[in-house]
Amino acid sequence: MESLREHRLGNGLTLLGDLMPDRHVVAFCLALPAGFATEDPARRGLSSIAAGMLLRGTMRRDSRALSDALDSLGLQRGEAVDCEFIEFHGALGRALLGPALDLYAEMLRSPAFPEDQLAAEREQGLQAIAALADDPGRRLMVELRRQFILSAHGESSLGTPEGIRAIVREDLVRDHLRRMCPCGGMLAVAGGFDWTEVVKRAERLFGDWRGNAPAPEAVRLRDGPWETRIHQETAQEHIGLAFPGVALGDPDFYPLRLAIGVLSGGMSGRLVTEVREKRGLAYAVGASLWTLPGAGVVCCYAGTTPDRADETAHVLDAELARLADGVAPPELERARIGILSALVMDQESSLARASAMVSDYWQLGRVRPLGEIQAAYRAVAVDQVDEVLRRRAAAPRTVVRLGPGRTGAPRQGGAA
Amino acid sequence: MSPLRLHFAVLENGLTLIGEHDPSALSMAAGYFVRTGARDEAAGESGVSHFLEHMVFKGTARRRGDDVNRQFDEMGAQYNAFTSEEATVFYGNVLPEFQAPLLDLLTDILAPALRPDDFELERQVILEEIARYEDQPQFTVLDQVRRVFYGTHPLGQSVLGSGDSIGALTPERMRQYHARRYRAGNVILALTGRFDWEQALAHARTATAGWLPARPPRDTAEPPARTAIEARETDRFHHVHGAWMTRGVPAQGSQRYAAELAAMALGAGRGSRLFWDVVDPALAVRCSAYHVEEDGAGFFGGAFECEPHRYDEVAGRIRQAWTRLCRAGLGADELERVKRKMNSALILHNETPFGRLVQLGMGWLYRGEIERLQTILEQVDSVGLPAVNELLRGLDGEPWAEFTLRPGAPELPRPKPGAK
Repeated sequence: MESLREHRLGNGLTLLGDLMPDRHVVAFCLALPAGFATEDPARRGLSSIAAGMLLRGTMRRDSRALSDALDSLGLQRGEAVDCEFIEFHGALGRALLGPALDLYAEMLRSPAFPEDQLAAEREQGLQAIAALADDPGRRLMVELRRQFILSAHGESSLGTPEGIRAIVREDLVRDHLRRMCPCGGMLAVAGGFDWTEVVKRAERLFGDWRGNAPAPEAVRLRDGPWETRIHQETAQEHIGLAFPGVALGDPDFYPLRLAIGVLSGGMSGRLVTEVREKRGLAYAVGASLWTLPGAGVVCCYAGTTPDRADETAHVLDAELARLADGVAPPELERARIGILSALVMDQESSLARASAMVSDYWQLGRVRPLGEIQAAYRAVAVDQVDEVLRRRAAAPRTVVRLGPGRTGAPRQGGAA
Repeated sequence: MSPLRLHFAVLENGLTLIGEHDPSALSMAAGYFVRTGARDEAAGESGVSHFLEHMVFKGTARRRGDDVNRQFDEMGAQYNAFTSEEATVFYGNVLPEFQAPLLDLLTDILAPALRPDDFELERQVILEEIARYEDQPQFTVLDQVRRVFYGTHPLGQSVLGSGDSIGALTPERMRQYHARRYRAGNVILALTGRFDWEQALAHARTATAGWLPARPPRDTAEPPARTAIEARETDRFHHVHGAWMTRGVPAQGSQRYAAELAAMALGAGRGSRLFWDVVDPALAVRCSAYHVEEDGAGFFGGAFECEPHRYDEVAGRIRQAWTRLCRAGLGADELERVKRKMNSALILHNETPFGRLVQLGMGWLYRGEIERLQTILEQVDSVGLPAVNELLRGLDGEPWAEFTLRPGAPELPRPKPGAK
């Protein structure tokens, strides 16, 4: 029986449901179109500060009362600021979903943005930026994203120190009206719950909410080769590498995703085999394909001690070049079964199902049923993968290396 | 609600099999839980448990390392292993039709060949892993604070070992450790999700028939703990990274859920006391607390990261929050809130066969019982306020250790990985 449900409110907020009737828990993800890609460029970090300030109290409850009310439901909760959305996700006992949604509606629709809490929120934001320097692996990925994605999607959710220092309460109030809007937003629910109840409650809580957030600019990726080195006294050199992938809705998506599985699907994937198993160059090495509206990014990472960094970078390079020669049928089959198994196992986690629905709906405007995804992966033949790789694996790459090695300006200029 | 069925068997060689069958699951998970870790390492063996965990994937008498990796991937398995101070765990999560090949592979790799060439290559990977953690000060301080708290007691030993100790290990030494610790009586095979019990039992009977029997000893007397504050200066980081530890409740202790609930109230993220005292006013980037149960021991601990000029205030507030918690205890509302949070956290954690596997296996390693989730939830729910507060009062003034990494003078030059 099909477990997926969809309902659109008059104001453009979409409700998504995935029914798992025997579950005692229910997970939800509430995503609103106020991510950092549409924040004021003079206030970089505004989305994150806004998300934090929403938790600091409503017109009815101060931050402590709000927090205690959420905790009294036993809610496991978190917030994430992504390029196009601010997401609030949570999981709790199935009987308590209604009261939890009531609290989120109160938080989103009548925030207090208390003036006396803003200094602490800004200070947290500034410290989070500074903390990046003490987390070199993460700093590398933030830099790689910034160097490779040239539209605002390449920014960091953390923002900039100047941006954060500039934020005053008035900015939060104005921004809330401008961007924290139901249209284009999603509420996804997975686990044990009653769909009719959720629709009824969402109509009551959000139905009379109005507003359209500004659309983000189109995703733009760097199209020429580019290399940057960042000097930092670290134990390992952290190497990151990116090149254009494809969007989720692109006909090349499934073949390319399988190819990335060949590259990095398991311990028998090419990168682990060549970098770690044959040469012992790294403990952590891998590649992934992540998708954005209308675009995708293939991203590779390896961390290695500095005197082996050149060799590691060379092996990564060679493996990416070898992709253009295509894949062997047995390695494609391993990648395929790995992806298909992971798909089924993800079905066992209510939180994973809720976020998968949001991700699909954001990028495709619909949620793909499991059967459709399985059929799509099963249908890809080896020559299709090879053909896609011939066209796409040779794309120019952006490389960022962070470590104690020599510093240098970009080796070759792209569209800087 | 689907009925969960429990299974249990002990083979002639002493290997224990436990299972919790869930007919509504989509996959099955299996794991070998070996009761061995850093605390079981003798002098000259530091890091061998974790190094051996890596070598287990490098081949057996009938498989080479690349066969092992390839065969796991051919089943579409989600598989891995981890090593702690007290346990080494190897697991795989597959669709039910792959149970037989998964078990065949998991059982085989527990008797690794330890070929010298593979050993040398993997030594490099371990040294890279050590270097990777050096770039993650939040992990370094957790390792160091154990040493400060437990001193020379085996519970203070590092899981990863050091560049020197890894450089000095030999395949022969590892073989001795394996023969001493990987004994059938020291291992359990746990199964969760939609598995076939009879197949698993028949497989284990045949495939582990050659395993050495018996269960090696472990001294689980409560270790001495020290009060000490240690700091190390480094020019590689900008913030102060710190961790603290004080006495808690052993894994076998009846007050362990009371301890878990108290730790949650103290420092489990938003809404906890340390959140309000330290994180909300932006004194620290991170500040959390937790309780860890160990074999015959247990501790409350926490970690934090802050700007150097705020260190005194942050460390002071943590200490104050702990003392206040011990002396004044939890409030009734507070206990109810953390009980509900723990209830949903447990349900969520045990939702998937893999999550359930770890809970089930570790519960058996520590307590020799198959602990149903429903029973755990009831036990958490039945913890009374007087029990929590009595436990806390008894912990006031126990030894307290702290370790911090602080910006300052350069550290001594690091030896090159691989250098003996």
